[in-house]
Amino acid sequence: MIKRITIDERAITFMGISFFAVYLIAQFFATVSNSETYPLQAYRMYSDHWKDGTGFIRMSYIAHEDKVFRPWELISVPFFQANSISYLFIDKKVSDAQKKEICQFVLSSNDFNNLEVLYQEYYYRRSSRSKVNVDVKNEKTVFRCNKGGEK
Amino acid sequence: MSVIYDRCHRFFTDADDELFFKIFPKAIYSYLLFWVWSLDWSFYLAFPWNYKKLGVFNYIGLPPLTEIGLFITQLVCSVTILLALFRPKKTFSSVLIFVSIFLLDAWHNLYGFIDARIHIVWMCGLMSFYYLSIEYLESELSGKASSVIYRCLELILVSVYFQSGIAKLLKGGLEWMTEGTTTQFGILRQGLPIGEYIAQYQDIMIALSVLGLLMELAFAFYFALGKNRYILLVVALCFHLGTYILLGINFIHLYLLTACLLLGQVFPRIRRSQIEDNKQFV
Repeated sequence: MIKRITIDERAITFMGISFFAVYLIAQFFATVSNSETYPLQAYRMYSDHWKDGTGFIRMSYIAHEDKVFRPWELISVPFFQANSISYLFIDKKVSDAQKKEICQFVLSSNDFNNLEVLYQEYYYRRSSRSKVNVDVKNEKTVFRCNKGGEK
Repeated sequence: MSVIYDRCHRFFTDADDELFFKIFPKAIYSYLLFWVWSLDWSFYLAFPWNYKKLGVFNYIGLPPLTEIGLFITQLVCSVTILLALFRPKKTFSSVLIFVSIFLLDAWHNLYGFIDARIHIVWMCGLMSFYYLSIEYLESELSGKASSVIYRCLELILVSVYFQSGIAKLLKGGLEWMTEGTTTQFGILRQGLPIGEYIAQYQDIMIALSVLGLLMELAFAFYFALGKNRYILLVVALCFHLGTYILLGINFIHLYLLTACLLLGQVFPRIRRSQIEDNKQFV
């Protein structure tokens, strides 16, 4: 038999008020401070203003058949994680041995033997009322490995 | 002071939540059962050195992901979800679901994932309070507590959109909306065929940016809209449909909450109006 609790009805209302207050204050500070403090992170998706001509970094994987893959096509993990894997190839804190580990991991999930990790900067530019051009710059190979593990 | 309290009391305790709580727990727990097993953890398991302690986990020390730890958490979560779906007593299950989902979401974040699902953790927390109130409070009080929980779930939804809109204004300024370049380049960057086609039309991109930001900011007035809240919920569902088609962004937990709130608000009103109509003919 469950012992039911009797509390003042006002306590329930105050619980609601307290939740609203705490949640709103926490979310307010997360937004204003652009917080990265999990679990109170600020929502930042697409909140920057990408002006005309803004540049982005793209990491692509080139297999030995010279076929270019977008990261999320080659690795069987969702888009955001795949991107974060790719960016580790240009992270100075990540050692070459760790990059080799990632390369082997990527190769192990597909049938290719050689992998080239390509870094590109690309810029979107509006050229007329209804057209966007893409300029690719600073293209370079940042890592290369094969199934044997050699760099 | 008592006038303010009375208004607050009415606001928190008069929600028409009966239908909502019949459908939302089933919907969210069924989705979580799929979510728990659909995530690919192989990268996280392969590279433990990529684990970063962030935020509160700097202090409380969540251990890095291990295969056995992950499996146990997934198993506990799945079993408790099934218990919550099929057994009448759900309190203990709902608390365990909350804890295990929090653990999985935290692991997901501490390996560099851009968090977009934290609200699911808050939803699970509130659901466990809902079942606790049913089990341990007297029936009249538990009805009022469920109404408070309903309002808190509404607040989560409101804050998602409003916070997102405010972040755009703070970081991007009004140009974010008037130039439409963020939307345009964001859609192009995602590389979906239909998005790449539509993103070539700048006027459409500006219109989508304006409508999107206005919708997000309009959620500040959600609670003030009273019976017309369903309008914002319909717009939010359309917004999600658009972001899925053009950007491939899929926030199922938010669709579910929005759709259940919408159903919970619209159907009781239709039913009541039908009863009123029938009374006129009697």
